[in-house]
Amino acid sequence: MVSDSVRHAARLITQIENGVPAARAVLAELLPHCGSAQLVGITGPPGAGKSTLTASLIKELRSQGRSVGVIAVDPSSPFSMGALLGDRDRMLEAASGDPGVFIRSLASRGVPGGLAAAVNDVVDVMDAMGKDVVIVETVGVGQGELEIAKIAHTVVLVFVPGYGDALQAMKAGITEIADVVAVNKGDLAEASRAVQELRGQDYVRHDPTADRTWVVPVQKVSALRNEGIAELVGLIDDHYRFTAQSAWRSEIERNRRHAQFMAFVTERLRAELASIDLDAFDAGWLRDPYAAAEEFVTEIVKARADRGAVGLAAK
Amino acid sequence: MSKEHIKVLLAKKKIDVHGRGTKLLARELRDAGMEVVYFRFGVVDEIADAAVQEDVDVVGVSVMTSGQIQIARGLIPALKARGLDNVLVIMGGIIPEVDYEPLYELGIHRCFAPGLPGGAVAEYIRENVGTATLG
Repeated sequence: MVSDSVRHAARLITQIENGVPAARAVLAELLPHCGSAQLVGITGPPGAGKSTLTASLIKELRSQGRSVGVIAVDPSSPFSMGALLGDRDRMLEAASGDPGVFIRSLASRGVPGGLAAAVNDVVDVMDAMGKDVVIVETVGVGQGELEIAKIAHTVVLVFVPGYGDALQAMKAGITEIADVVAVNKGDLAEASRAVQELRGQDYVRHDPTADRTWVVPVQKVSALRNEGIAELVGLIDDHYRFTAQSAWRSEIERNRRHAQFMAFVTERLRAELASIDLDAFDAGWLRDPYAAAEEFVTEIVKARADRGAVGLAAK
Repeated sequence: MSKEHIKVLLAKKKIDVHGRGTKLLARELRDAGMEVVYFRFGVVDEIADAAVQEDVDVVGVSVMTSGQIQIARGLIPALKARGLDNVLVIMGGIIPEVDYEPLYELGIHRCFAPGLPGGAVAEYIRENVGTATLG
């Protein structure tokens, strides 16, 4: 599994998507083989060219001899639950016949939080496969945008000229999670102005573990003409190295593991709670749901604290 | 066999500019609740590589400018070589009826002619997914 069994990896990813409990055991076995992949998130408004840019990144990374895993997320229809996953089409040329590239399309299936959990697990699969870089491309709308910040070492925000002025960028609220900004469609005349305007915003990220800041670079790229791509990869690597100069990198990784823990506990507890006998209502216990919930949680926390378990402080 | 999330790879030849049929079908399958990976291929191995990485239940190939026999001759062994021996493989588009039988002998499970009522492909997939084998 760890080396190159693409078929097994692909099937495991399906199990993760479907929430098959058996996948957890396999993931736990993979864990010792995880931790060497560089995780890059690609986000931005729909139509910004995220997939096309990802294709360019694949080509550049491959030319440097680095293997690549790609997780491309597209939205599911809230009505039919069906999905049209079109990202792969744009990446085909960059990946054709190359065993060093593994692309997997995922449908969002309507649960941003739940999807983030699945994506985290899929990242582990690709990491264990030995991919040097794992790229996660988000849906491009809604909450998934912010979830990516909890997964990736470096978040690349893709903008396009004409998306709006700088005010619009601030309003979108997603510049807060960007480590690197790429202004795509750099072949358009307005691109230089957009770059200037975004640079003028002086976006910075504060290192949560040390007294220093990362100045968010703004790079003009043209995925179409393959311009600025090598520079963009350079900036992504710069940021990756920057986070390693303090505890920032391990903070990111800790947050990711914490998110996985939360997702797993939530999922397990939800199943347990769903099986609570509703006769408890007639017995009076559930008639006060507030008190019942408080008692339920307190009991778990107290039981753990009493036996000196790590991780929770007794109240 | 019924499956909660049916994943379909819909492939169309890159040099084939006739895309309306595939796109219409992609939309139809999406509306039937399926997850459709749509892409244009240059060589048959690209379909097989995509099918294994995406772990799809169904591979659909659209053919408008002939070559269906050659495609099937390459595709079925390529899928089997990658361990995908229970994937449902269908073809559609401008395929002469005289080719249906040879295509079925090569391992294609079903060919669809243009002009079928909406929902016909989705219904076939839902009824046959998971039960097909590639001999």
